Amino acid sequence: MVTINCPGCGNAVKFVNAASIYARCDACDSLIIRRDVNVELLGKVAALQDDQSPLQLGTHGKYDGKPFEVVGRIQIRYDSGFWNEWFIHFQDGRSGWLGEAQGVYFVNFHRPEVKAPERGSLAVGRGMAIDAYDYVVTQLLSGAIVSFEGELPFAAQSGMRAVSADLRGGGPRGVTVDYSDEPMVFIGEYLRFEDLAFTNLRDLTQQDPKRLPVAPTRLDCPNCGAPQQLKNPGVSQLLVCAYCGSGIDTTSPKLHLLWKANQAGQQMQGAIELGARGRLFDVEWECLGHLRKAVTVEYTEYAWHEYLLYNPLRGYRWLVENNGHWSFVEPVHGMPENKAVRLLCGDLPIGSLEYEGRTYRHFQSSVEKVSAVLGEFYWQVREGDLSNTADYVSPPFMLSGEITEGANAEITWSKGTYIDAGMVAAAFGANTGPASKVAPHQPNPVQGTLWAQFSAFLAAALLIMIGFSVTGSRRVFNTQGVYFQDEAEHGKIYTLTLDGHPSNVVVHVNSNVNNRWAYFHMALINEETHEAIDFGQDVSFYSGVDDGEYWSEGSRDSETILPKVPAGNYSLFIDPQTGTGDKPDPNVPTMLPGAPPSRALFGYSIDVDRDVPGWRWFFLIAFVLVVPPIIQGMRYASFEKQRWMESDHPPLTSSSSGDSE
Amino acid sequence: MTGPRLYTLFGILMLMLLGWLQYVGFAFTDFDRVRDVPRSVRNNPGSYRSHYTWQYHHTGGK
Repeated sequence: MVTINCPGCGNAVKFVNAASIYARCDACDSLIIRRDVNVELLGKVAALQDDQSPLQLGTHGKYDGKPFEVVGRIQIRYDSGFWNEWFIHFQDGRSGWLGEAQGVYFVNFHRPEVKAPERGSLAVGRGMAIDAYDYVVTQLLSGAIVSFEGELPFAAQSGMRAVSADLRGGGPRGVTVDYSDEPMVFIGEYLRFEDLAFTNLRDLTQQDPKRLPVAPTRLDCPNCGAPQQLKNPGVSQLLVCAYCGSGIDTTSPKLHLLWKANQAGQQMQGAIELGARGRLFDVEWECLGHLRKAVTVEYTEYAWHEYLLYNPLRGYRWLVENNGHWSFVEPVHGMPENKAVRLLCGDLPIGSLEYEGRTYRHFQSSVEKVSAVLGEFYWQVREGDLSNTADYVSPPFMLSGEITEGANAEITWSKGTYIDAGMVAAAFGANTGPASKVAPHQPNPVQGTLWAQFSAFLAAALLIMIGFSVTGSRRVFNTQGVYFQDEAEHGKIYTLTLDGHPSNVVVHVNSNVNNRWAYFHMALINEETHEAIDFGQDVSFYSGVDDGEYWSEGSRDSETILPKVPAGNYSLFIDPQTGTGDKPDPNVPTMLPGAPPSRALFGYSIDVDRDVPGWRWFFLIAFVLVVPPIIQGMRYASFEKQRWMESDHPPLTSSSSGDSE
Repeated sequence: MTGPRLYTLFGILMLMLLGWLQYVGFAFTDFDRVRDVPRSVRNNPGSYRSHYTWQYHHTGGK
């Protein structure tokens, strides 16, 4: 740091940055130029205007983890308001610029090696590559330097023409090309207030006598003479008279009338009172303005309300109310990307956009019209103003692109977050009222689908079944027999042992009956408790040839499940029966080798298994488990259908699909 | 039964139910349980049938 004495008044003037050549003496407002050890006085500097910037010389901050100090400032006035270029000095010796206005912060660095595009080739919406990145021209600016303070690397003069172009890239990247003299390219990033970790900010509650007020805070309406209060002088460019609805130009103390009495704004009913303060997302906001906007679709006007919020450090935000649904809207500095055109170049495509890792689907494109204005605004909005807009949704967020054409052509993007009406009511004491319809970015109350969980449960159920199949299911008894035609008594008793916990016993009968039925009366008798479980199974099989075609019916297999059978020693009584008077079946002996073929009517085999997994329960549980995902999916789809019915892409209905044929 | 948490709870309960059904070998069908079957009957299959088959008059066939 170098300290020299002002040639005009002798006051000590510091040069913090080695690149600084020019400085303004705080004591006498002289412009000083430093040439090696010599100092010259170049003249007096005009006073700064009070633009409500929270920064000041000596403010410290951090960019990319590196500390910097604000050492100089150029104040520029464009049609859209004041813009400050703060000259910043990093501890590592680098210097850069911090563009700032209305809560927008752009840290950028002069890149002399990057060639500036021809100014004549620039148009809002045009895309171009600069320093290996794609950018889109978002604004062409023309203004004048108001004044400056601190130290600067070049001479600035009040009234000097300031011409520049703003370009935005994907994410936070941005470029400013300064065409005021030799074109210079500045490349940097747009950041939020909280990203820069500022300290030693200006106390905005104290009036700085060295800064000229842009407009009075208390004024009388030039039309009706009613007293007015301007909340944000120096930033607000328009104040609408609360009494007669006249629009007052507040960019100068002359207070021109932009329009005379207008009833639309006065008659507008709002949920939030102008001047109301409330905390949202841990920041206190004041409601400065209220707009009513509308779109007309097929001769029907759809209107909504937008409330302008202001915080001196964060800048402007919006609260938007539509059909009782509320959104908190903030500006987006990066450009959303579109897969088809990579980076949007002036168009608002009817497709999907990528922004901050989310995919936004196009919802609606429209021409919005301002239908009523009340309060104060940072631009001179008028009733009847039109803009081309497109909304893209990814609940609970909505990206909105807006293209303003004409002399002040501009592309702006904003991001809305759906918030609960209760938040707005609690923060601002607003009368929010009930919501109707479905908002474009309203979160679906049905939280996602349940199919992933269902798959997991199905897999778990399958594992359970496999586990029981492996550890259970064992054969405890098997017998084979033949039913002989002339046998007096067919009933037989066998013994078997069941072990383990009470579980099922599955009795499986297989018989080679042919054109006959067989019934097996059985009983499982517990030897300890003397309790018998009586049951029976029948099999039958019939076949033949009718009109040359073979037919068959019935089954030779049968199964009975005996549930919850305790362990113990058992007797199994088996008594086969069949119809009488039938002829023996010559094929039966194949089932029991050695039996006389002439007497056998049928053979049979009986198996008894213990702990057999019941797959019917698996399928029943799977069915029960699949019901909620199906219901969930239907409810989810129903809500989405309501959402998209309001869009440019309504889902096909049976009538519409029929019409299209 | 629409919330993921509720469905998770429901699913776990269903899996527990499945495990229990398999463990006890549950079935909705049940059968006549005849108590105090005399040992002599078990030793004589023919006599057993005369006592306990009155409900099984299967006619079968076509």
